[in-house]
Amino acid sequence: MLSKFYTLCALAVVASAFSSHDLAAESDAALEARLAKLEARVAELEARLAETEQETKEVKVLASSSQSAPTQAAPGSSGFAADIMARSAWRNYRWTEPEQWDGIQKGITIDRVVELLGEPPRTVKSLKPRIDLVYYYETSLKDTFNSVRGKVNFKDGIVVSAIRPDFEKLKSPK
Amino acid sequence: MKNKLAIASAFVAASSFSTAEIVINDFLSFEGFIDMSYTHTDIEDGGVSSSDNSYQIDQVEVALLFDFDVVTGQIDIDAEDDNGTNNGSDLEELEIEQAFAAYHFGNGGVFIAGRFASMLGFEAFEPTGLYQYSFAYDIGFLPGYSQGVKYSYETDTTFFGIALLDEAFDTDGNRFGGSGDSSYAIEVAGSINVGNGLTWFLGGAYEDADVGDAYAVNTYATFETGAWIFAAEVSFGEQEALVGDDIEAINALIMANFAYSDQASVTGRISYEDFDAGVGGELDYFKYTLAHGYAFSDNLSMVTEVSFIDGEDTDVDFDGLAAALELIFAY
Repeated sequence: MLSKFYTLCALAVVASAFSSHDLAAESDAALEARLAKLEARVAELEARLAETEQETKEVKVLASSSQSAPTQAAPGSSGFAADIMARSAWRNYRWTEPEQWDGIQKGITIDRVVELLGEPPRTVKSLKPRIDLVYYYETSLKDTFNSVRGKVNFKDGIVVSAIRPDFEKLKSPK
Repeated sequence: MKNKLAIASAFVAASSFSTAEIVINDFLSFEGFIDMSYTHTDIEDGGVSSSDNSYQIDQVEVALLFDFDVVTGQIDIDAEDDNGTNNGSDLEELEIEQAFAAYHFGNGGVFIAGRFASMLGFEAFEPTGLYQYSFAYDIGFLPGYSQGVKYSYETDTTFFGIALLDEAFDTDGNRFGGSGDSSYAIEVAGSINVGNGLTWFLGGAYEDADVGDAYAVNTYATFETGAWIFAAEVSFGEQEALVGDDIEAINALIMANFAYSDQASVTGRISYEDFDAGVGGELDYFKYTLAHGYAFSDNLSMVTEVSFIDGEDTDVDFDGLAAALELIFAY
């Protein structure tokens, strides 16, 4: 919804620009310059939108974190502490957000995987010949019914394959 | 601990850092493996035949990995089967295989102090990094683990390392000087990935010891294309003898590995070693090895191997056939 708003704003600016000037008299160069400015403005607005969406995610993590660990919001604790813990939770558990896995593709680097999913709780130097390192993202190996398991396989520091966690299984528990 | 991948070994393994681990907390994690095998050997030495079987736990290792941002540390606790040579006991004595602290400069440079593995040699030091069950050389003369300091620098395509050590060939008092027999050693190594899967490594070690100076030079190249990995290595070395002729050694190997599926690979290797111990005699042989590796999972694999060795030990011909079945559990 926010993106539509920004797009409408941009279009309004464009319409205003076109209506207040005689297009026929304006040179192509001036038009191109104006278009470039508008494109830059749209890009800036898109970046701000992405930032807002990221903050929204962190707030969601904070809310769920506070519910699962009430002691974190104990009387006397500062807002800064809660904020730090929320950000820490986001860093450690962002792999539990399905959309974070959308960027996991063949060919990306280890650093990019960590940026998207966070540090894995377990890794292993694989004994398989075409894989040399595996990042495991999992909640619990023993909890057969409620565990979330995903893994990313690397060869020479590059993703060669990945298994995305089955989030649907969690959303519809039997 | 060196990585099994020849291509990566020059860059990743030579720096002696591990990336696989079970995380205990932000500062501590651990990893390791259990290696066990069944072997059968038939040997004919000077016309006398003999055979032997064994089932044994070859090695158990636990590595503790400490991470304090720019400062990291590692302790490898290791127990190896010594075939009864150490007071008749197998796996009963633990040793600290590696123990070091490292400071990371953040630009690819790392300073290490402690006990750590040599940078030289194509083959990995640990079974988890080998393509076969056996090593290419039955004697070998390249350095293993030593104490000292090391600086290494690496980029995506190059590696350079230099180490000042108390010893390299385990021939002396290893004390950096002082009264009585003593020694010090220096090791230098570098590698470059020239592109298209081709990597070249060159390194050497020199030890100044009161009982006889020694040196070794090691070079190898690896080429990776598709599911194939090829490697070729040559090393030579010499040790000064206080009495009689100097000890001279040379060894070499060529190897090809083909991963024909996600789980399995086959490896062929031919290795040669000539060890001239002066008055102690001369040993030279060729070893032909065919191995198959199958990974049941990322953590569990089985290696089967057949090796044939044919050589001469101080003018006495010998040959032998060895078969091995190895199981490795890594974590």
